Amino acid sequence: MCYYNGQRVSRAEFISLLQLEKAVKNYQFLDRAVHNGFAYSPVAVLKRDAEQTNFDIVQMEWGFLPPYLKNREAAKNFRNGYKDAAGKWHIGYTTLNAKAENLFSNEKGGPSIYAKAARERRCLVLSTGFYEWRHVFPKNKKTGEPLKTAVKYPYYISVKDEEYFYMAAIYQEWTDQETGEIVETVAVTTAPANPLMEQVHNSKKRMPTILNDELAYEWMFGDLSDGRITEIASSQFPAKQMDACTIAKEFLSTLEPSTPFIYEDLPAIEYSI
Amino acid sequence: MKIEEAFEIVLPDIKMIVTSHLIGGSEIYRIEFSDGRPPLNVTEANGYRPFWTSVPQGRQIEAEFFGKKIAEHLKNK
Repeated sequence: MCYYNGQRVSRAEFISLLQLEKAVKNYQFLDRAVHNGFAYSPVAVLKRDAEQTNFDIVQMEWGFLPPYLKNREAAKNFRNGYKDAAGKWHIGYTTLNAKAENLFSNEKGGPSIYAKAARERRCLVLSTGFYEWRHVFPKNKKTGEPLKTAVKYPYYISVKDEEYFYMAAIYQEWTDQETGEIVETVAVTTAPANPLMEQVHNSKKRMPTILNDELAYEWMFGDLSDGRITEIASSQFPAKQMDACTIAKEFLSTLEPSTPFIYEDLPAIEYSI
Repeated sequence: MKIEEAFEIVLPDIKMIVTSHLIGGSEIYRIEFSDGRPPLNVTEANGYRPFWTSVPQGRQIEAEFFGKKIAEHLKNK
């Protein structure tokens, strides 16, 4: 006899339920049409199971929260910034993404909040595609110089011939010490943009770390050095295996946000890369 | 594969929108809730006797409660 969710089941039923868990990951409903990171919504994540030999599919809150934040108020302040009693403004931190280069040391060279998670709690976010904005600076009609304000065009980026793909990520269990709420929070790692993403996400020139099956397995189950962790997190998925198409600017509020939308005045992306 | 159209179950404190799917030969129901809690996938498994359970594991109490509501809805429709 085995136990599933605390209920006694036969071994055959247990295996059937585990297979169902894995089959569910291939099913589109796990991933909503659009995950707007700034809504800090739940995303579907694969993480190692307790035996460290297989994976579980779970939901995590997107937006890594360090354990020292005491409650939701502190988490909100951490994410959005806040003004203290003396009127001094403290900036917020966006932890939806963790730069591969900063997994072990932060921008200032100090210890990174992601280091322990990168060593001990690596996981994979399941995705069907993601969205990025391309910044285009129109030219001043009189002077021919580029304007200072960019026009932003949204793109839907996916992996060719793959309904699902994996993004490298790290997670952190976080407890609200006031309410006892326990959630797992996650940050997707990012790599320098490949030639396709350099054109699309041309303001920051970054992209999520997309992993093929071999690297995904190594990321989850490998006994990795800090160097290898950084190397995998920095790896660039081949541009030729990716698709990017423009979508409507109001895509977040549409039912089919990944529907292609042509902008007549937008220069095409260069695919011969 | 989606089995049938989505249906709605309204309880005194919460509304559920349910879609049913056939995955790997098993029927699985995806529930979205009006109170903002994360969506829940449930299926009826065979144990000592049939019981509703969440997929993946971790939300058994909710799965038993809401799974029974789905069963009642399907029986009475």
